[in-house]
Amino acid sequence: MDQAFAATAPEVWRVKEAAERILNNVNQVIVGKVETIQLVLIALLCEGHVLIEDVPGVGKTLLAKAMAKSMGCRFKRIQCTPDLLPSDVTGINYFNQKTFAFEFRPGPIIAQIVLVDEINRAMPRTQSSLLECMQEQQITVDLETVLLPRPFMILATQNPIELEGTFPLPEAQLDRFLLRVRMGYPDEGEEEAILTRFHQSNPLDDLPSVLEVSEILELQKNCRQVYVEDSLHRYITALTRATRTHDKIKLGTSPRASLGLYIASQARAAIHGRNYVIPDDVKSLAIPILAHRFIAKTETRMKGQSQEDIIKEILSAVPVPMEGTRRPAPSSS
Amino acid sequence: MALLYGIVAAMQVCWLGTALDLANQKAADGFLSILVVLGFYPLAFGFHRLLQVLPWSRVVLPSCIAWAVAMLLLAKIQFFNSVPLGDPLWLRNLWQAMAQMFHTFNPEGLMVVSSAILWGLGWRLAYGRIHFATLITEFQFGLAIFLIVFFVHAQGDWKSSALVPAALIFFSLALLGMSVSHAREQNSWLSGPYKGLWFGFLLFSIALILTLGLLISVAVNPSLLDFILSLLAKAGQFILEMIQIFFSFLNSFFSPPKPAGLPPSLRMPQISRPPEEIFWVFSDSVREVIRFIWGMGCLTLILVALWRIAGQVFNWLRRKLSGLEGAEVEPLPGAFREDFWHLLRKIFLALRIKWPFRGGRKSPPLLSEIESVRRIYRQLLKWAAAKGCGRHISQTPWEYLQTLLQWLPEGRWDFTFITHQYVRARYSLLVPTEKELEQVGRSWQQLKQIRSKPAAKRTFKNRR
Repeated sequence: MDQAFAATAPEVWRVKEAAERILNNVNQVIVGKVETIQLVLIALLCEGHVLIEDVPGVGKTLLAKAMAKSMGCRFKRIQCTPDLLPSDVTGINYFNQKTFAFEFRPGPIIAQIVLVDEINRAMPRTQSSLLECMQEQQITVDLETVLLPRPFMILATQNPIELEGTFPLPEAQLDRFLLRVRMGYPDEGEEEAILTRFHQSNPLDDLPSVLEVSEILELQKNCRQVYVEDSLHRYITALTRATRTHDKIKLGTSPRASLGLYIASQARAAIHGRNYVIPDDVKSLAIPILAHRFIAKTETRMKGQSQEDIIKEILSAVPVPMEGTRRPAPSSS
Repeated sequence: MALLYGIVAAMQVCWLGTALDLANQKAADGFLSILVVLGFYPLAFGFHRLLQVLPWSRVVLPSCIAWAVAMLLLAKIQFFNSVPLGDPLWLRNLWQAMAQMFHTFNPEGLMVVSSAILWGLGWRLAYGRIHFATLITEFQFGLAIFLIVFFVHAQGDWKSSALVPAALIFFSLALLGMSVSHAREQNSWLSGPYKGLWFGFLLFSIALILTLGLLISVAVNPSLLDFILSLLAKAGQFILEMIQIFFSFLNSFFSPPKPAGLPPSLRMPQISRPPEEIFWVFSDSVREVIRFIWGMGCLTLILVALWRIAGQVFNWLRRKLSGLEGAEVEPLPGAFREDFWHLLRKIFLALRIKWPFRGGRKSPPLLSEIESVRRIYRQLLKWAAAKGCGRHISQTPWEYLQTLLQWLPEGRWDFTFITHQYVRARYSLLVPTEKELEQVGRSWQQLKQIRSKPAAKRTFKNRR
């Protein structure tokens, strides 16, 4: 439908075409889950990080690996365990007895796509070592700052079921993840397709790279050119502000959430071949971007209401800016 | 209802009669017969009552012709009674007098303007519906006119014996009209358990208000006002003396410098001053300020009254238009305000004064093509909502499209096309082409036709 009607700029078409390439490539490994793959791609185009949260065995790690391989980026993996130290992540300065000098041995974080597997199994101090690199895209080791290569993206996974021996991520850490996505179980047809596809060999081994690093950087730049109409600015602000006044929320989302929603909407519009954002972009991204950034009240959690449910409530209360809508209601409750 | 019509007419005659009386003294030295001119009012009312069966568009021309004929007859009788009717001289003279109307206020001009106003008021009364809000508006407007008339009367040297009685009658009628209309609309306490005594209560209220007014006017006479003002003046003088005593007490602590080497001053003869009479009068400058405030207040009242009347006229027009089949009346909230600000800005610029209101966010002006698409989509929303398929505030255009498609599957292509064009026009900077605009219009007409077919009877529940 969009192809038939939406007139798009060439830069945006390039983003759309690249997204389709990646989607098709990753789909050789991951069966279905088009929306999840799109969300990861949106995070990449926004220079954001993704927290993949789901039960074991649904393909979280496989998705992260397939994405990294499709994009031809330098890929590293950190398997988080309780005894993992911050220096194991960032790297250390060690004394080289041959040269009689201290030398820097880089940690796995110095890569372009980093899979932080089971992030909640690492101790809080190790988790904290990721804060600087996630926001500033740099690390500091022994007073020396090392810039990380671009593009840089962390794909972290965590298991929400097993809580023993795990350390829940602090709010500051969660806020640095642009998106939290859930894989979900495949449906019947998809599960059959997985069996067929994986019965002889792992398709990940032969997965080609379909995108160059320089191309990714250019696509990131193109996404920022997508037009966002004034009323949508207000809509985004109204959504995030609604989380701060909602009666079921103890602590609302930060301005970083507004900014994340804004740029992610731009990226989503570009992926769909549009050079302008529409309210559907904002609405469809509200749950992955906002749901993990606020703290719900205890009684709300006790009643079994999830953060996603609260965001859905907010979405149904805040008026969408269009004809016939008079005001962008500031509060959702 | 006939009573209310009579009350409104009498109220209008009261304020208009007094205003005309003053204008008559100024322009024609009381030559023009006000009662005859006031006769236009019932004439217009009766004439338009007779024509009420005709549609509005077919009334305008006969009405204008009737007014012109009546006005000419009146002019003939009033000013050219001695000239034969067939003589074109009186027509030429009348025309010349009317041409001078813009330069000097002459009796002919007064007659033309007043007869036109009265004709218009009679016309309005014949077509209008009288209810409580109408009475309130009439009262506000009449009050503003009376204030002006009183002000002019106080400032000028005209004498009008009918002014005070007319004002009293106006107030009494306004009270009566408002009470009756309020009671008619079942909104007052008069519709409660004491409704059987409403007329007694009404008369009692009017009598009480008038009695109080008379008592106040009797008690508050110039001597009483002089007494109150002299008391205030004495109090002020006492405070001033106290302040002077205090400062002289402070001054006593400092010894005055002794003039050295100055010649002894000559003794001047003592002149005894006559004791000053304490009488409180405002100085001219204070009077000017008060006069200015009074004038501004009157002007504000006139503007408010005009605003209210204009608002009611627009509301009435909107109601009339929305009642027509196929008409689409679009409210333009803020349009008048925007126009008014624009006019003010222009005036400021013409006077080379810097426009003081530059703050606020300014949205870029919409292109006409974009506005057309948006207007059609607005109409679509309104139309669908009226048919029972309203949009929830949280629905985006695409989400609402799904609702529309469930409601009216036959319009799939047209709904989708209009929604596409709307989304593009609303959220992007892209302007639709002429062909697309035409297609949007055609799709909209198509949709209206689909829905108006009698066979297509459905029920729809908006789940949102």
